[in-house]
Amino acid sequence: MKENPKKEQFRDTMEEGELVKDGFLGEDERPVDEIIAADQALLAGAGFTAERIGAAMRTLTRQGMAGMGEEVDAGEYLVKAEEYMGLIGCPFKDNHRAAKRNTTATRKSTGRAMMWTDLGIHLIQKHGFFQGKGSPYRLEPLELAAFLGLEAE
Amino acid sequence: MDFSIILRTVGSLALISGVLSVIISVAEKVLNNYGTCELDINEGQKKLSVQGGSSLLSTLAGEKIFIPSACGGKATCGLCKVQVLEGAGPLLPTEEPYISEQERADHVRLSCQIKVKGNMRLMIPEELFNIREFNCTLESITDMTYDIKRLRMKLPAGETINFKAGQFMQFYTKPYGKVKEEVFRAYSISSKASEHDYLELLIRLVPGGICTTYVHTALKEGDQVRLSGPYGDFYLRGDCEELIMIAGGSGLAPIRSLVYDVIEKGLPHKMRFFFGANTVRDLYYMEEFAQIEQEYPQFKFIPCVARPEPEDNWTGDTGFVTVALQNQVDTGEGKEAYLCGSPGMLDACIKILKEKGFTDQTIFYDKF
Repeated sequence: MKENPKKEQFRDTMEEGELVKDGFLGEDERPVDEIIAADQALLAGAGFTAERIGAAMRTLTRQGMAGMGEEVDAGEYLVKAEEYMGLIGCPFKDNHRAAKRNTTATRKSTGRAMMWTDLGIHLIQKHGFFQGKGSPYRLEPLELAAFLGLEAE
Repeated sequence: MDFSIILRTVGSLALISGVLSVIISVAEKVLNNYGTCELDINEGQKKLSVQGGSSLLSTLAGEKIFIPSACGGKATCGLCKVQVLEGAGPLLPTEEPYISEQERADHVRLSCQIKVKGNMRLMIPEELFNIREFNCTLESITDMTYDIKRLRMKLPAGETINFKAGQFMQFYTKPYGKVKEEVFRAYSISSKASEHDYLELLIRLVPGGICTTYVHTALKEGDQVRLSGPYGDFYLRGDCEELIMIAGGSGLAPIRSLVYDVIEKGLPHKMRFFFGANTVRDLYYMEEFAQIEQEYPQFKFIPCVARPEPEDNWTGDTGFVTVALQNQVDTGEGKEAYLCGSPGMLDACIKILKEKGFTDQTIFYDKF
């Protein structure tokens, strides 16, 4: 992940009602860089990186896309990728446009399910941003890493 | 420490920060004040004096010149292209993904991204001057499925609209809940092009979507709604014998309008409409299309359900719409394809169509 110490400048775009109804920050009042740094520290301490997590999420989403809205069997997981019309831009204004797609993955062995968007994958993989506390789409980094079955490095 | 010193210090700090805020606010007004700017459109055909400081897209909209945009000025759709011969400054990084080398040479810019900061010379296609704004009354809002609503809106008394079946409108929300500003999004018109005093849109709820949540939770019958349009180049070409129409979800909207257009104009084209749904509860307008099929033998309706439940007693095609397409369309010869749906469905269908001989010139779809 490339470091960018000025992500706070994008805070306005992340507020509720800007790009998405609920925004990306929830009730989190910490500067965006601080949110990212805190999550990154957690991950580093446990031997994970946001890039690896994002890549694993993307792999599951791609498997789910084959089902065109229907749940597909993806080995350890059941995955459903639901699509809507249109695209959404990245709040960090990096020119990335994500499909409006929601992926729900259910781990067969535990029954635990997690949901993310294509934009959420990009935010994690490229910006290390798991979203603010209280954001409906925030995923706790270590829980996500465990859910994805990643090995610590 | 003396309490009065603390008070004086706090007071001084408050005073300093107050003065600084005033300076910043004044500086902001001075620096961002671009004054009156002159816009020369189409080599002097139209000249506008506008207040600088806003995006070209919103400045033109303020002058009732509506440039197509599906994303509401967020630089994600790339539709709002305008030729700016002078006054736009260098290409911005946010524009780069949407502007080809040729367009760059032709001075094409994204009007949502460039600010009016001085005089500008623009070229705007004539047809965009026909795009108008309508303040309609929402006559009815109907649940078509659990996540799709139909809005039927009456145009103001005495006003009419002419559009080509398949085109779209921009729908403007009002501030609601924690959404403080108006936003707009593009939705295809589902009503008949022959109906000039009403407009219908089909709007599917997108989780977290600002505009669709507004429609699904805040909008009420009788409300005033603002629209502009018509926009877009998704309309019937008809240089063929048969039209293959493919839609999923709210993508049914422009196809419905197209089907009626062909019928009402008495065009000779055969039509096959493949409508994909995941479950039976995702289907709608079933009776209406069945009725059209009965009355007009040139039209065939093929709803496909990926996962019908036994209790649905589903007797139609089972499986993805791609399967029906693969099995039931033999070749692209003599055919044009019109598609509307989610990007994944479009990609999968276009791949199959191309394998069957359809080309970029015979496949039509909106890219938003």
